[in-house]
Amino acid sequence: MAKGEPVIVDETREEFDVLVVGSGVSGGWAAKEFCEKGFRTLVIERGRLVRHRQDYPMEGVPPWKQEFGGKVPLDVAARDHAVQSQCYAFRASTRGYFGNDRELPYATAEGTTFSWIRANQLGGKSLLWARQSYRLSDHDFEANARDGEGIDWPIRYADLAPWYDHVERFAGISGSREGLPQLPDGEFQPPFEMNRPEQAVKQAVESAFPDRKVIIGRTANLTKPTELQVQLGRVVCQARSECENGCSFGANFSTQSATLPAAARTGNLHIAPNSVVHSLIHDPASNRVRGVRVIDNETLATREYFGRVVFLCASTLGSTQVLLNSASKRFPNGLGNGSGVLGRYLMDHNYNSVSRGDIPGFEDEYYKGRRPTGVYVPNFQYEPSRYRAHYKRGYALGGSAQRGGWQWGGYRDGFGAEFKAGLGRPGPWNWVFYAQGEMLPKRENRVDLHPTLTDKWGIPQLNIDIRWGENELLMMEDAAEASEAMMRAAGIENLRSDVTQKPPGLAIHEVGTARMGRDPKTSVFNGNNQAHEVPNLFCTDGSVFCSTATQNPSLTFMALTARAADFAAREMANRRL
Amino acid sequence: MQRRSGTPLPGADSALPDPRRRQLLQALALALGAPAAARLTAGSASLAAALSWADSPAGAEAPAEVFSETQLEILRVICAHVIPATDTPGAAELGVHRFVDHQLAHVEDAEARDQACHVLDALDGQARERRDTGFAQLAYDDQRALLEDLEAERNGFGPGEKWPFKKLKDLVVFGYCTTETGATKLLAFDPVPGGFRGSIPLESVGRAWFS
Repeated sequence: MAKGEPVIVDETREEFDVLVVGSGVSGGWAAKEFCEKGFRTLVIERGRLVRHRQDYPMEGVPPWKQEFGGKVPLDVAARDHAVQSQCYAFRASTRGYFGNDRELPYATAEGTTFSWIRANQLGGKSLLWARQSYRLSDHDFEANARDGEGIDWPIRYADLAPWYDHVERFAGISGSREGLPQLPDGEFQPPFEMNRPEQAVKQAVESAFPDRKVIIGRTANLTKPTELQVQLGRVVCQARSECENGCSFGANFSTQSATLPAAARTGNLHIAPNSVVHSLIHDPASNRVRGVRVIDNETLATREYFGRVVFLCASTLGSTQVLLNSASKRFPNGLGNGSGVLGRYLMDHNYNSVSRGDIPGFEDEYYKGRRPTGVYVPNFQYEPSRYRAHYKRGYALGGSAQRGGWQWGGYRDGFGAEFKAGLGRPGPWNWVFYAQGEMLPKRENRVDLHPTLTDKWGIPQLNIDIRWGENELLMMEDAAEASEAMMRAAGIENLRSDVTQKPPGLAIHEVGTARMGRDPKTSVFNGNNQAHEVPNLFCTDGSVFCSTATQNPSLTFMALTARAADFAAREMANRRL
Repeated sequence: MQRRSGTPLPGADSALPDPRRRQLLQALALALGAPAAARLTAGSASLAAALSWADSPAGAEAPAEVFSETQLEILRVICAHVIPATDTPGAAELGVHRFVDHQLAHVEDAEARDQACHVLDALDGQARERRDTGFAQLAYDDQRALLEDLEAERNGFGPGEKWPFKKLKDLVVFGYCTTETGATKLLAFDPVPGGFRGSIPLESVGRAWFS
């Protein structure tokens, strides 16, 4: 097997050093870190192989080469993607990376809805993510302890800061240094530019509201690739907006563009595709996980993989489902679930406030390229003294200024050459602010295994029971008012807001259900992402989160994974694992 | 579905200013090795597609899926009124009426189909009432007068016709702007911008971006 290529594994009796379950943002990082440290690593992926560049069939395909101009036929969407088609990134060119809902059933408690977005292939949701990359701050790590919701995070910013440095340098995050207490700066590549109206809004908002900043979004798109990134086949972002279709330039961070090539070139990377993990094999005598039971995605045949250490990186709900389904005599309520909190404290970000308006002027201004990020207003209610009186915590705002185009042109009046010429001219500038609100950790928001329903692999379906609480609803109302106040201060006109009650899930920031903590009685994993009750079992995806904070979580998955891999490697070297 | 695959983009190079293009190729060559870079920019499905040139939205002579022949002909005439041929071809010439039929058949729901048929029938009905002939057979100016009445909800047309018409018109605009001609001639199409610039004079593009 040539160096630089992963070894594809089917049946094997080899005991690997590390088994990594899942190959998305977290799994890719676990693979890279362990392979680079010299450990023989097996990545177990439930879906198909997606090869970088070769398996991006819809990249750069213009609309006139797509049968429906890029739209998905209704019958296909309804039949195969009833849930997935609710996702903002779902379209004809990305459909192949989303799961087929008929094959991925789950239950929801009566009166509740949860939209579970799935991307079951090599690379997982790293192929589809929106790339927004923000550090959590100590205000986030301390929030639970300070206002009494949930449990305290077992780590602080200082624990994670060097690992944020580490993952940012490798992944390539573009952004501006701002010196904000609630949003620590990082190892950034140059920021994307704001357009003129955005600069004007920034200036107006910041002078009218001294506690608020309008900054350019921090995104995992290369603006000044490092030598290492170039070696790995990654080049500077071309602003094509092809990210979710697959980027052959490797300009955005994905498992395919970044972590897998780094892992593969060590010669230590093995991948078992089409391997749906049914459960973990726990040996009660040694109290160690020995490996995983797998059901073949396609043939439904069963097989097992063995390793000294297991990293669960199967996504928040995926990892929790595996743990719940690994119950035994020793762990009747799910592996490592002596605390009884496994499945509890499910959270998502709340995007239910959107405000829009029209920006007068700037008629001669335009931009070039499709910027892979927007502008961002960091949470300005980041500590209890800054909370509004009627609810806890806060929200960040995403936004942008753009010129209208032909997209709504059909609703304009008129006919003939004049109407046609109008389609060819950019319309007025418009503004959008959407809130990204924190959701409080609540015990009653939970998942468990459905008592009777199973999927095609015979695995009990998750039964999801989550709803927004009063705090979340009040926050969205307030976010819309605050957004409009900022827009008004910036001279934006014709303001309109939508405060909706779309169910959790569609932020695709689901976290919690196997939280980390100091106390084995109230948490599943410790501050090193190691199961309190099973020392060679780790989990480093969103399931370990104690709170949502307001920031997009993926960068923190990366940092937690790299840190935990470092810890596990040292424990192995010291023969404690 | 007719898909004429056309000739390559006249100088794929023109998508980027020359120095940037060279820079990109050098970077790719360094990253991937020269043969792979050449494959990626010349022959790969992805970039070849990004930089290629084709034409026409939808099937030319396939039978209509939603509309009767009369309805399809009315829609063809509407296409010519909404987006006529100017210095670039118009929507009717590019077969956008057939694209709209196909789109309604597969991407829109039954209500949208019914509403589209309703508004086309309403136009034909008004034409017969006023001139005792079908809409498509009316003189050009009479057709336009009816369409303007429809958008203004007057002379026999109400909101029940106007809003289905707007939806239909929106499909015409979408169909036209997503043809090669619409996206690249009426609009400015830039598959590989080479990076993002936040402020350029509008006059340097002169048109709206496709996206």
